Amino acid sequence: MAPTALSTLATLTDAELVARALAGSEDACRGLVLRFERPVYALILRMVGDPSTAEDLAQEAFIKAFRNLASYDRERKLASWLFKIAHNTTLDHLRRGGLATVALEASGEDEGGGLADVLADTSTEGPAAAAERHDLARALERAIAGLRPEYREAVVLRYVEGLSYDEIAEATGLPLGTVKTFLHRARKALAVTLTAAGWGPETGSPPGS
Amino acid sequence: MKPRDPVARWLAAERAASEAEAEAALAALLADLDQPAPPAGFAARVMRRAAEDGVLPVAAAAPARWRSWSPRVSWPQVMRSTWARAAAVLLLLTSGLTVALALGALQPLLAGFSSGDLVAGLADLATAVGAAVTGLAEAVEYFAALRRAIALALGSPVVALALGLCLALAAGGFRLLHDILQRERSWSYVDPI
Repeated sequence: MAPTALSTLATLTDAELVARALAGSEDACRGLVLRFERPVYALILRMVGDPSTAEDLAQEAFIKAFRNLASYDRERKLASWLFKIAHNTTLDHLRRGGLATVALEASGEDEGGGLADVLADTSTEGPAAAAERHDLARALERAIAGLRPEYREAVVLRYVEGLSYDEIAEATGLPLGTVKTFLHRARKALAVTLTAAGWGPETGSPPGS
Repeated sequence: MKPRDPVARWLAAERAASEAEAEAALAALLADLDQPAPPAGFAARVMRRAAEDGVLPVAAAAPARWRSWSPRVSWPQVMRSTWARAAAVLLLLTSGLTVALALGALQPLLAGFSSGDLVAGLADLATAVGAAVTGLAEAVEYFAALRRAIALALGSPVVALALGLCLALAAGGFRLLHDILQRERSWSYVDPI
């Protein structure tokens, strides 16, 4: 099959991309990876905390996806299917290595490219606002990292990737009610953490109390 | 807008227990954050590993052409070439030589066999086939007897009820096992709701 320009692949729908990949187009496979590498990697990184491990697991998730691409139901959302594979791959890894030790304490603290650096972009605002933005990013990052892994995953899938409750339930294998409960609790926990960190109102009781 | 504003809006919605507003505010807050991206060259590494593992989807095979094994070249046209003729002669010579050598090598082996051995071998083969057919017939008869016995037993309401109970128990057990495995694979074993 003749090579396809990445710009052409970018205009294809997910279903078209899958169809081309199944027809044997290596470029379509590469296009699939390029389209979903960031959300899949970001989700896994949120769950395992270590960039190197996250890359290995993301690779493994895509390999599994390729291996099972023929069984993908094109009526379903491709992102949800990939997130489900990423979820299971990561969960298997965490169960092998011990779930209790999962943490994201170090992420974004010293390395460039973290949320803090993104929000600390001073190109569009003054130094004071930039500093406050940086602090907010760091506080948010710490708050999310401090969530239980299952809450963290639900938060990322819902509020970062924009999945519906049903899609999260499908990706994580959880009942719909559990997904809603996780998200509710996660939001409350984040609110409490940010309020405690000084991001709440000057007076008044903290949210969720 | 100051960075504190979206946070304040979200926290206010949480305090007001406004679920939809809180969700929207938090999503808006997190939407401003850029997400971590994989290291450069990630896609290339995935593709390389996929190629190594042989997991890239392969193009569906083209419909088989009738007599697809037949050569697509025109032999008369090919044989007009001097090189092709020379290659054909060489091929015939080497093939003939190979056959002659092979026959020479097999001669001592073939000499060891007699027509009597061949007949005895065929007789043994026929005996083995007959025994296999007899065994198959016995197995068919056994299963037929078993089927008749089960049908007779199921005629009794007590046996039918017991069998139904056993099936229900087995189905329940399988369902329980399935649920346990599903739970094990999800987060809910960490935090059962």
